[in-house]
Amino acid sequence: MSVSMQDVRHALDELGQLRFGEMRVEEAMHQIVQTTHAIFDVDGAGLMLADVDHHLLNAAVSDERMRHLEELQIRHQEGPCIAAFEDKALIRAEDLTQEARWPSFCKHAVTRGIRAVLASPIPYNQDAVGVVAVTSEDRRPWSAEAELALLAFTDLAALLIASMLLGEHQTELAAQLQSALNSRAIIEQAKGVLIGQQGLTAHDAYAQLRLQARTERRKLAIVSAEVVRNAIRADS
Amino acid sequence: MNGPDSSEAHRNGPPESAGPAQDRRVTIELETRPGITTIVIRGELDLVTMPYLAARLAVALRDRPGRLVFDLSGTQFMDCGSARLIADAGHGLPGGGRPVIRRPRPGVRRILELTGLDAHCEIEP
Repeated sequence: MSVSMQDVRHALDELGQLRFGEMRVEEAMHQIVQTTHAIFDVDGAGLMLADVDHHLLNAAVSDERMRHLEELQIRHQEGPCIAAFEDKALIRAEDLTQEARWPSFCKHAVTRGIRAVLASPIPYNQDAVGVVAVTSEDRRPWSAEAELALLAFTDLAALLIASMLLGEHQTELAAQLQSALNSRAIIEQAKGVLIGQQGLTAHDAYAQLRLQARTERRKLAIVSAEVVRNAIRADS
Repeated sequence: MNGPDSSEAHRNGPPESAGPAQDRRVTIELETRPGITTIVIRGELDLVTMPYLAARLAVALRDRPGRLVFDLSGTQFMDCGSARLIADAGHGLPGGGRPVIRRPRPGVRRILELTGLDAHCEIEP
């Protein structure tokens, strides 16, 4: 199934007319997701935003499958949306039955009707704050047109999120995102400490922090703050 | 973000509307040699950094350099808007020269290819 660039341009024009200022952000996100779903002719589309613990939570979904995507990625701490979020890169997975990158996630995703995923990070001030993703229940070799279309919708989502964060009306969603942004500084510092002390890659340092938070059932930001504090103490 | 280092914030960040949590910023430095200006970008290019990129670009083009190079080796992510801004910089060059994109990482290169903006640039691996 191909994505027609003409349809995408038309949809973006229409979405461009949305006056986000006069609309609830949640409503605008829902419109973006519905349009993405329709344009792609996919089985699911969704917009996920990070919370304070950097878990990706659904902010708007077109389909019940997106709830599985959210839940499975949080449970297994891996998956295409997490990869897009952490690597700040477009991630394509055309067949999860053949996918080696996220073994635990894939095993469960396939049984719940998620076979292919395309996920694009939503950037905001140097880091991703969430992802826009589409899913298919069949194997799907995503085309260049599909990638470009998803990028265009992601840009729109970024615009919406920026206006939400700068807006006067502090919604629950804006508060969630703001706390994610606030916790990021300390998490980044802790990553830096682990990279310096143990020679880890940024990716492994992050994985170690998350594992520790999970094992000790504590917040990622709190574990991170402790790592940073200990490093300062060891230095002085 | 208006702490003691607000002068730094002003130098590096977009103007007022930058928003909250400006803990880390992109840096965009200009290196000028006769006839050639290199714009060295470290950090990600997104909606928030776009006003800053536009401002730095305006400064770079003011001296009408013969050749404009963007060193993107330190940039992991670039959104479509920033890609367009960079590709369109060629309009400010004499004789319709194309801006050079130096050492783009795979993600950035992919964006240029998907948007077709690579046709307006010279890519230097």
